[in-house]
Amino acid sequence: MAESSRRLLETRLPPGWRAALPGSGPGGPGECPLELRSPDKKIARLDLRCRSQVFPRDVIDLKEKGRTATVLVAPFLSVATQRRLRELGLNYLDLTGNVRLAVGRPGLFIEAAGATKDPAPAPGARRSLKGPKAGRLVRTLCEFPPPFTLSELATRAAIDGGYASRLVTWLAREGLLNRRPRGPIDAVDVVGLIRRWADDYQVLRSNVVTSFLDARGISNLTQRLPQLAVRYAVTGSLAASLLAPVAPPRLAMVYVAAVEPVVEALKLRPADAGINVMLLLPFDDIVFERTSQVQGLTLAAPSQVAADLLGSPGRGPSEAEAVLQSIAPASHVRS
Amino acid sequence: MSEADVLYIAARRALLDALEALGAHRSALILVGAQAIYLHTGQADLAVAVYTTDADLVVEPRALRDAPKIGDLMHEAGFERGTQVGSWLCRRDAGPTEVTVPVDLLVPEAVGGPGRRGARLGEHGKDVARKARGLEAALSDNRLATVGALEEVDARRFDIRVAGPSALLVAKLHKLAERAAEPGGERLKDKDALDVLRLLRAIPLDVFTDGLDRLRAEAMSAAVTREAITFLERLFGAPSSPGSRMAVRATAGLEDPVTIGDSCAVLADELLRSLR
Repeated sequence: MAESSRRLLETRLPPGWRAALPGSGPGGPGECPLELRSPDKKIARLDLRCRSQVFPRDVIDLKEKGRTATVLVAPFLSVATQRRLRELGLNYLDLTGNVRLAVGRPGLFIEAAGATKDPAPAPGARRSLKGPKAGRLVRTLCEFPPPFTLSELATRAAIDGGYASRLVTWLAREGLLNRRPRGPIDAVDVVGLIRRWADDYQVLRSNVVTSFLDARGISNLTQRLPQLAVRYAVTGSLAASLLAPVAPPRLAMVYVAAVEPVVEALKLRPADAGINVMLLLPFDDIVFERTSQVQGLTLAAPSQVAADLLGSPGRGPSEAEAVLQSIAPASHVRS
Repeated sequence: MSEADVLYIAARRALLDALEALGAHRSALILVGAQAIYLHTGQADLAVAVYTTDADLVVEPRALRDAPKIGDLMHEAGFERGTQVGSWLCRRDAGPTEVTVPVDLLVPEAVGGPGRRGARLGEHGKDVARKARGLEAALSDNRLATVGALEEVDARRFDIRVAGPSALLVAKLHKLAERAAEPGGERLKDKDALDVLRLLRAIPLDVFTDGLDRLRAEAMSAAVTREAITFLERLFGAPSSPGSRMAVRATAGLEDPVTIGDSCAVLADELLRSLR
C-alpha cells in the first residue's frame, strides 16, 4: 500500500516535487517513512500510517496517537471519514485519489478528490440513509434527547426493531452516535448525523417537486398559506430566514399534503424558469411532525430544514450552516 | 441607513413642507406619484428598497381658492421655481449631504385650460402648476389619509387626499408611455416600471377591476383610462415588453430577472383579462 500511495502522491504533487520511500523506519507495523523533496532540494519527512479500513469513529484515536507529520493511508476513505479527518487537521490519502496533505516546511498543500463510494465495499459495510424509514430514524435521533433504548427509538420512529438495530450499529461505527454495550443510545452527534443524512437524502430527488411562479411574490404565499385547509410545512431558505439570520429568500419551498388546492387558491403558474415557489409532496409524513409556528407560518423541524438546505442549489448549503449552528448548542454531541 | 432611505426621507420632508406651505389650499391637493404608490404597496415583496427623490401633488382647479397665491406661498416656504413649469425646488439635508428635492404641482390636462404646459389657474396664474395627461383619474379615485414624516424628529402629520391604486396605475402608465414615445426615450426611468409592478403585486385584482371599470365609466377619466389599459398591454403584456424589461433592469442583481419579467407579464395579463 505504501508504494501505491507514493505513486499516487507523485501524480498529485506540483511540478519539480518528488516522493520517495527511503526504507523501513522505526515505526511499528503498518508504518512507513515517506520523504517529499521540493524543487529547491528541501526535504519533508512524513510517516505513512497504513490501515485496511478506517471508520469515522476511529479517527479520534488516530489523533490521540498521531504526530503532525503523519499521513493516514487506506484503500478507501468515506466522505464522512474525510470530513472527520479534516476537522482534526489530519493528513490522509486513499488509493482512489482522495488526498489532503498540509506540510509546513517546505510549504505544501494538496487537496484532491477521488471516489465518493467504496469501489470494493465489504459486505454490509455501507448502509444508506436514503429512504423514508432511514429519514424517520434520523429525524427521531435528532429530535429526542438521549438516552433512549433501541426499542424506544424504533417505536418513536415507527420502524421495525431489526432495521433500527442494523442502522444504529452502523451509525455508531460511523461515529455519529454512541451506544453503551447492550444498553441505551446515550449520545448523538446531531449535526454530523444531519450532514451524513444529506449525503444520501436529496430534497429535490427524494420528494416529488413541482415548481411555480407566484407573480405576486413569496409574501403572497406566506400570507395566504395559513388560511388554506391544507397540511403544510415550510422548509428551505424561507424557513431558514425565520430560524437563523440569513438573507431574505427568493424561493419558497413548502411541503404540502396536496398540491392542487394550493395551486388553485394562490393562482400559481407552473414554470421551469424564474420560479419562486416549490411545492413538495413529501417522502414521508415525518416532515409534518414536530413543526413549529413562527410568524404565523408552520415551519418544518430545524433538522429537516437543514438537511433540505444541504441538498438545495445556490445559497442553500451556506444557509444550512446557519441553521446547523442554531441546532448545535442543543445537539446531544458526544464529548 | 441606505442612500435610498435618506433620499426618500428628504423627499417626504419636502412634501410635508409643501403641504404646510399650501395649508389654505390643502383640500384642493391630491398626493400622486411614487410617495402615494408606496402608501398603498409598501415593499411589495421586492428586494429593491422603495425610494423616490421627489413629491407629486395634483391641484384640483375647481376646489382651489383665489387667495392666497400659490406662487407666493411656495416662495415664502423657501421653494424656488425649477426649469419646468410647476416644478418647485428646495434644498434639504440627506444624510451628510444636501440634495435638491422637486415638488411638482400638476393639473390633469382635461381641467388645465388652454395652452401647452402651464395650467391656467385663474388668480394663481399660468406658471405655478404643470398640465399632465393621465392624472384625471385621481380627481375621483382618491381617499383622505394622514401622511406623516419618515423621521422621528418630525412630528408633522397632515390629512390629505391620496390617489387610489387605479388612478395611480393609470397615471404611471401614461407617464411611461409618454416618455417611451419621446425620441431617444431619455426621460424613461426603470424605477417607474418597477412601481407599476409594485402596484400589480400588492393590490388585489378585484380592486383594480372595480376601480378601472368605474374610471372607464366616468366622463372625466374614461379616455385616459382606456388609453392606460392599452399602454398596460403594450408595455407589460409580455416578459420581453419594454416595461417588463425596465422592471427587470430596476432589480438587476437583486431579483431573478426571469421571475420579475414573467411576474410583470402574468399580472398584466390577469388584469387585462378581467377588464375584457
